[in-house]
Amino acid sequence: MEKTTLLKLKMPSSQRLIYLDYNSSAPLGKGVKEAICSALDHVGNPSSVHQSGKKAKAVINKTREILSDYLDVPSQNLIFTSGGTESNALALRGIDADVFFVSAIEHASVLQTAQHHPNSGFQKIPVNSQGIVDLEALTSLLKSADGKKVLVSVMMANNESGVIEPISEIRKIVHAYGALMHVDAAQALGKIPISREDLKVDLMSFSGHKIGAPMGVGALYVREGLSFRGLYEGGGQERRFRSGTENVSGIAGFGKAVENIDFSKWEAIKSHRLFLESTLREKFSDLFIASDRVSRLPNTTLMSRPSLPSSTQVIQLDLEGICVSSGASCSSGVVKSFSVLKAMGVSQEIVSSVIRVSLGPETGREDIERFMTVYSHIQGKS
Amino acid sequence: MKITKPIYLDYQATTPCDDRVFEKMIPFFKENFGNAHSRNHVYGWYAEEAVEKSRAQIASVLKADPREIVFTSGATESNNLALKGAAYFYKDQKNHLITTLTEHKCVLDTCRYLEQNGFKITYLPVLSNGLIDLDVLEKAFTPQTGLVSIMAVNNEIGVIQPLSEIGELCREKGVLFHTDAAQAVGKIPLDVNTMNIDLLSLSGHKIYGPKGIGALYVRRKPRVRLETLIHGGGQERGFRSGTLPTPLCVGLGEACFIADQEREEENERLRSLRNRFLEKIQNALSEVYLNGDLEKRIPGNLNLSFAYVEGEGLMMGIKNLALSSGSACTSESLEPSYVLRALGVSEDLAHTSLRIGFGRFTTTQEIDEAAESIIKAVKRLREMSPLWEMAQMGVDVNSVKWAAH
Repeated sequence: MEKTTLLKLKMPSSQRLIYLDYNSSAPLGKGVKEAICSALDHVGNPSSVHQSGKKAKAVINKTREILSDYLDVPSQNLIFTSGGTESNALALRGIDADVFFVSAIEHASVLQTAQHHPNSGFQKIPVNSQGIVDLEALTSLLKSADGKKVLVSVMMANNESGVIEPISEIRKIVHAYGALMHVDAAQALGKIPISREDLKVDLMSFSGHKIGAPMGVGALYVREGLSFRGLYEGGGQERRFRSGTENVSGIAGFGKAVENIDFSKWEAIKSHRLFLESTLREKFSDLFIASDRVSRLPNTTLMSRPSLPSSTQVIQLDLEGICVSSGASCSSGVVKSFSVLKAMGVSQEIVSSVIRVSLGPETGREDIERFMTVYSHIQGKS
Repeated sequence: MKITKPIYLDYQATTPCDDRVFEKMIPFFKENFGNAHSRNHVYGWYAEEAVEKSRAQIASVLKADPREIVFTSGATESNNLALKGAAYFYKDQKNHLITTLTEHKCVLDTCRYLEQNGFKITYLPVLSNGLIDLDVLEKAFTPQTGLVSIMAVNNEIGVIQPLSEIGELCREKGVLFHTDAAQAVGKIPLDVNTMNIDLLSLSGHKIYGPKGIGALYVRRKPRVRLETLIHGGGQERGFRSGTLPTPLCVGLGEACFIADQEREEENERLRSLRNRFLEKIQNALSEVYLNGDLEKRIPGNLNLSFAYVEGEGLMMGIKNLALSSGSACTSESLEPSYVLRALGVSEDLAHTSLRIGFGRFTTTQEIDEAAESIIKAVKRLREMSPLWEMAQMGVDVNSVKWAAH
């Protein structure tokens, strides 16, 4: 209850806070709010045949074109959803697979959908100590499932460690065994390029709010000709794959956010991150950084040194106006600790002190310096 | 050239977002953009507080507990979650569901899906006024019945089903009662306890809130269990995973609050607009039929069939009006409305029906203009119609034998 009182007293203005939790959610991008507002100002159900309806439909189709141009896939193969979680659920439930093979570091929405599927089997694909999917293990799983309909799900970039998986290499193996492949690209979109080669997979999920679109919107790419069914019955919107009146304002914002994608900004982000990592490494010889020897998202550092519990560090940082994360911000109630590290075989000592710092286009070098000062202080070194 | 906007009379398809709702939402898009599930920092806390306030607003409209409200992406998802969720959770004990022929398409399609997957469904007929016959409902119960799904207010004909009576019957039989209340919030008083409702779906964009958000009420005492459709982070007490869209949640809460606050006053205003409209039409035109009961109906809806005109021609003649001839979801096809057919409306009359939806921003001037346009269009079409001519001469058009060609 203390928390609520605190908030009512003062909500610190965003200027005074240093936000380093971009992988959890990104603030709206330039022009996105305007796009949302103009869509909200307009009345009309996209399924109605009259002018008002057609205009709402046009908003949706415009975003579809933008995303289709950006990804270089046919626009009719993109379905709008309520976000990354729904896209993942739709992808896995839409395929009538006998068995799911999902990497051990998938987002809960993939892991649990696979696990709880009423009629399908489920197995995790292990990852190595850097968090990369074990291709040999995948191959033997695929061999063992001979004759069964298999869907493999591997994320493009991990939300916790930022590790980037070799998607096209994995896809080649998966397709060689006649299996289907889904990729959760929620964290990858906008942070790293997604190539045509990557999009040779069968299904790919995207989330809006991770790239500066509002929460409540996402998309799923479904390869042409794939035998697929939707999750909801109803009006048959989105080529029958996703019934329900579309989130028009969210979709409008999503389009703008995709238009805003600009990798030149990410060079600066990457150099900030490298600065952060090298400076802290010099200071703390025992600093652990996850997936530090493989390609990673330019903005993500999952780091730890055996010291205080993660949550204590996060609270101390927060008191200093710095927002970082100590666990996947999914479950309401308890914050679950990062599960990726366990799958990578990292010791419990390291796991219990881990925090994730994820930068964004608005992060400045002075923010990094301030973070390091506070972090060092918390670690007992100033 | 000045482009004149058509008069919007399609409030059952969707509603414009109210400025008051809009204003409340805006800060949560940008300044307070935190993830409501980020328990680690102040951005997250502030978002969470806003979401919880909205949840309480929704609960208060339904006389429910905030913990019984689950956010979804809209009424379609709510209905799918309620029906599939309950059907699958209780499938080992019960495998029969009861619904009506006039439900929203997403309920009917979900029922068809369940049928294909081994469940038994009874589709109750409705009376010619669009209401269900409670005796027929009572007879439809079997020991296997697990759930009854009957909508509160129909989206095409606006009729209000007897929720309290249905709820009482369901409770007596120990059967779950789900109602699709997407069209009902802010139109009729709702009380999940006195009405014995176990599951209730609602939608943001039907009540001057944003599109892409809805909710499902899930009773806690006695606890209703559901199989989850979207697994993941375990948000919404495990019923529905996914990051909550804070601004949309805030919009839904505010929209519910305003709709309920202004319900009586607004109903009064709409009733007088509707009566004015209906009077004008009835004074100017004969052979106009009202589909659905006039009394047990929300005041913001009329569904009229104009005999001896051709549906498409009529729509062409009233291009200045944004309204629909059937539910928006299905109006891209030219099939006559299944709701009207369930009422026993003939195919010809179903084809010439207009759904006229009035709402919060409808003005007297718009009503007058709309009535005038419709009257003009119908008169002109009838002048050109040989059938109308024959009918005027006293020929029973239905008895005419048409030559094949």
